[in-house]
Amino acid sequence: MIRFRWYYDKEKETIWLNQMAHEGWAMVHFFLGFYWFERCRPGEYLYQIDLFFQLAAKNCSFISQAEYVNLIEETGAEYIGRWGWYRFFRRRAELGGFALYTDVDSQAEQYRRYLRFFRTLGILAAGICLYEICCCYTIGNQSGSGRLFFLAAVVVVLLIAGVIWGMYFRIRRKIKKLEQELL
Amino acid sequence: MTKNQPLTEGIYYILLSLVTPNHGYGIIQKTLELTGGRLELGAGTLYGAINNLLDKGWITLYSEEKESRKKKEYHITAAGREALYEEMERLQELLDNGRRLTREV
Repeated sequence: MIRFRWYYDKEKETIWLNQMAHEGWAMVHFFLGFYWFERCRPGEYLYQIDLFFQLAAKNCSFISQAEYVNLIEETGAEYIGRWGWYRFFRRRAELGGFALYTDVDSQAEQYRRYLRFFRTLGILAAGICLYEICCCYTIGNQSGSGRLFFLAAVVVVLLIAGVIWGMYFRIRRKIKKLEQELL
Repeated sequence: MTKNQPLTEGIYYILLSLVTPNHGYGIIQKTLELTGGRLELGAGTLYGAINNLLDKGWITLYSEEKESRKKKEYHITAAGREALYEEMERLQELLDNGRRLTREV
């Protein structure tokens, strides 16, 4: 079975994958919003997603990502695959609860990593947007279709930037909530 | 010496597990064993902690088996031991005060 879903929030995505596994559908492959499912015993697997950012890997330079994947596999989990920065894992539910981040500190640290990453992306998107607006002005009135093309590009990049900054603030709220828990 | 922040439970057990050299999954198992199955460190939590502790110089790479990447072993350093002792003293103080004052009531 193939399902199409578009998630910006990996938490919601994880909840959905676990819900599907609970109903007897185990995710086995992912490509650009398409999820491939196979039949499994209801509740056979627990899913987890982690984001690996090379770009924002401050303090993560000592151990390679391959070692991290190995470590997760040693805990009895299975590496399903990757898409961009996303890595999908599952573990048999009979092995007990499956979590990658088990204390509030490391959860907050994980979100701080995402925050740095989305900030970089957001600034990049805003920069591209500005560049396109400049192009729009310099093309001026000479070419109507050229201007229209750049206007369309501005709208597209603005939408992307909106999503990125939306994620940024959502993650920031999550960090605030976790920091309150720490008090 | 500047006082460190209190250690998290996870960091405390990771340092304890590395008093004798150990590898990543070994740390998870040792912590489970020491806490009677109560504390299972998540791989992400451990991965971040190892990176931070290496960065701080509290633990160091002990050995690396070339044929299998997963058998990288870590070991606590003198600075790590010092942080551990400092934390044990802090915990002892918490416990002493708790016991003393609840007995008085």
